[in-house]
Amino acid sequence: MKEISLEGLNEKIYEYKTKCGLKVYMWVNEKVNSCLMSLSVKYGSIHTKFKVGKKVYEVPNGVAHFLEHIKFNMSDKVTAHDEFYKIGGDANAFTTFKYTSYIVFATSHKIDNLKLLLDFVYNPYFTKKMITKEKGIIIEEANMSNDDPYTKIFYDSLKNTLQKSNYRNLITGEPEDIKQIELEHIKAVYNTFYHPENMFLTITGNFNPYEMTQVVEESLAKKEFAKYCEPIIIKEQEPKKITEEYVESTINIAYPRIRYAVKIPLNKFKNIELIDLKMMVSLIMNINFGSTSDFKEELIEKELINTMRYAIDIYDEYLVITLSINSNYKDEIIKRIGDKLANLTITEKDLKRKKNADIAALILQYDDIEMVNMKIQDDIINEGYIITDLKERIKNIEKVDLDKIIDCINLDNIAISVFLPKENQEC
Amino acid sequence: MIYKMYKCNSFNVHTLKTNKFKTSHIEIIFRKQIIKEELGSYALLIDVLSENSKAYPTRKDLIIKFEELYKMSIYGTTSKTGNVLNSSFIVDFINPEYIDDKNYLEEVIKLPFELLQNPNATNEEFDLKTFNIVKERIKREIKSINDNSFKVCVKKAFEAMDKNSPTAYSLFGTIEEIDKITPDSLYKLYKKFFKENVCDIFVIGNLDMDEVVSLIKKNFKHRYINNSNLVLKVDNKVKKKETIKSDISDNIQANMVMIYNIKDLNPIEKNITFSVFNYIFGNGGLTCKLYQRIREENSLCYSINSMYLKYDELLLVHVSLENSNVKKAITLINKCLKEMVSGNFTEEEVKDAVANLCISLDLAYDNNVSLLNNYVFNYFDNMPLIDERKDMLNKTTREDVINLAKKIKLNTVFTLKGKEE
Repeated sequence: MKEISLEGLNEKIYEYKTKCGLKVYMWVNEKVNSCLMSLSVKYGSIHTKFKVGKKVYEVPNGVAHFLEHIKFNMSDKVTAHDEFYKIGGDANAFTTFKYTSYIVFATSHKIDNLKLLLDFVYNPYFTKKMITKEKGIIIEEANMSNDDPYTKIFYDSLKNTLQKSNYRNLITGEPEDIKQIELEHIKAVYNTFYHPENMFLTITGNFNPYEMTQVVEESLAKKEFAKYCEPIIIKEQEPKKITEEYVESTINIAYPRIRYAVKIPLNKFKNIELIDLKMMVSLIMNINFGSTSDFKEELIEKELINTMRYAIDIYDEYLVITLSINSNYKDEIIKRIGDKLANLTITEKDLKRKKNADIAALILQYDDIEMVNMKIQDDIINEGYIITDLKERIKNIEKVDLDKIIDCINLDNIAISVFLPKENQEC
Repeated sequence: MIYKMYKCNSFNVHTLKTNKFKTSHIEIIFRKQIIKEELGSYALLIDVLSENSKAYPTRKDLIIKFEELYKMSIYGTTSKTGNVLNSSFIVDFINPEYIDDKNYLEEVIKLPFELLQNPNATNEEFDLKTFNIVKERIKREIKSINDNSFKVCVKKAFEAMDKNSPTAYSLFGTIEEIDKITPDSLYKLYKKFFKENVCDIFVIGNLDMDEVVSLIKKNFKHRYINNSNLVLKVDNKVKKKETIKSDISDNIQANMVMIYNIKDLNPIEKNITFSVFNYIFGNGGLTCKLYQRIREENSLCYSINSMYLKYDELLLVHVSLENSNVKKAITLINKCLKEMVSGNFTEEEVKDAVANLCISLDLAYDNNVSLLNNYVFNYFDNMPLIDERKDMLNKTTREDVINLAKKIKLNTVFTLKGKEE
């Protein structure tokens, strides 16, 4: 068992690798009653094309999410939920673009809950009947997403920014994708990716890490795993250009919404780790577009906007900065944002204050077993390891570093998506 | 964990000292009986008060101060608990043990009272710029309800049930009501605010509570002693024949809400038995009756849920699904309730529901807000504390659940139809 110390936070993470290759990450908080266990597979909605040896597989959009749904069936009559219910585990699952996670909260019978989590995820029970049944349910889930204007705004804006990437597609898949999913797709994905070497277990809360690892080892020893086939994900090469520079559409919203997305190739930022890049761009955006910026204050005071938020995301080989604004004055706002992005500035005073606030937020993360669990999952998925020196990294950011980043933010590829209320809705 | 109440004449401070969390949390709660016409003004007032103050005249100034105090936060909000309007100021901050500055705690505690008592106003009028920004924000909140088909459906369902019931009142009022408010009229409401509301302050954290209370007393100059006998319950009348109404939306899916009255519950049924009933009926996740019948056996929807509106004495079932499946879903939901009335569930299911509800209560111990809420509702409504509730849950029988199910009566079915294919 390895103990990973988190510098300056007085916290540690236990790391253990089982004989069959499953890595286990654990954070203990003895002040709470509960514990959260998540078994994650590095397979998400964007992984629809992959290669095993020479054989290429292509599955419909939505397979990762569909598999997550039916994984809970342990036999024809028993679901994992029935079993968790009996031992007081609160189980659920979620699928993201990059991974799928099966989670259980427990305050008692923690060992039984852990065993059950491993048992049901590593139980390859799939039938045609369950696929037919689940299709109706998931199509309704996709319809719910399509009825939600905020989901529509998010994906439509991504489609205008990314030309080919799978990030463009609903995690559930569209109803037409879901109809195409068959038993063979589910089996191919499960057999290829649901292997301990492609998965990891994260446990946070009140428990004994040595006892937990022993339980995991014993439980996995009873299961048979084929040799890991080391699949290779095949990605569409995403072009540098955005899809559409400007798109206007009408949807079911009360207020007009502008999504202003800047797409920048990651290779513009040389010798900078992704984790640092994300933190630094976030600081730049916070200082220039956040609630303490003169820019936002002026727009609000002049009643040009109601709200303005920003997001920083990495999509394949691109950094995408997105500003999302509620405004009745789209032309004026688009012009002003363009001007501001071309003239980003940083002051030492702002930077120092923001860094202190970020450090406080980091300390506070270690108060919440769910947040720490998610943080570990994010680290493993995005970086491949636990980041131990986040506090130091924040402390070490200097104005000169941010100025260099600003120089690299080029505005050649901007996708503006404007969403207007339908005619029957006033604005 | 130590609970202590400090009586400070015009308000009470309830403290819960614990070293479980790295953050501390304060809720300053003002309460009064709901008056429909005041809801919009109150929403606007609380938002204006928490937007800025005399010392921090813009939102930007205030947020810079929050950041200087290590990302503390304060927000103001109004909410309804049955027939009572709560105006709350919520304060979150990192425990002083992590901060080197000796004056940190005092600075933090000073700030919400600065907002409350020194608003950005001149000559008995709120600052026009601030007023207009917040007014637009409230109007946006009102309009944005239309962005969410579930919220639209519930709103219309309550109006169909009884548009004059406090349950159907909009927390933000109407656009017309908001438009009529001026900086001057809002200030008049502010002047009455302390006189007309009962104030309680709840604090949880690893703090020297005597010091906290003395700092609150030093900074909060509140001198009005108000009657705290507020009536929480909304008397939603039972109907001889249920109301069935529908409307058309632009969505793909239909949304359907069924509202039931729950009358004459004793305190144990209200606080304990109903949660067991609801766990088995429709709120117990993937094993409950509604989920099993509507989703698992018939694939009609992705999610279905039943909500207990304790102080409105209502049960609400919501589902979104295809237009063509609405009738079938109503039949199945009615069948599920009949099964509860006729006792078509086992002792084992009651036992499992109780065990899972006890686990949820245990989880509340791990969250400072949930833990504090336990004491808030214990004080406001005599709701038993967590351990007592667990004891009472364990005494719940199948017969108790059946007897309670018999007290549930359908009031309204409202469907917000999706667009036709």
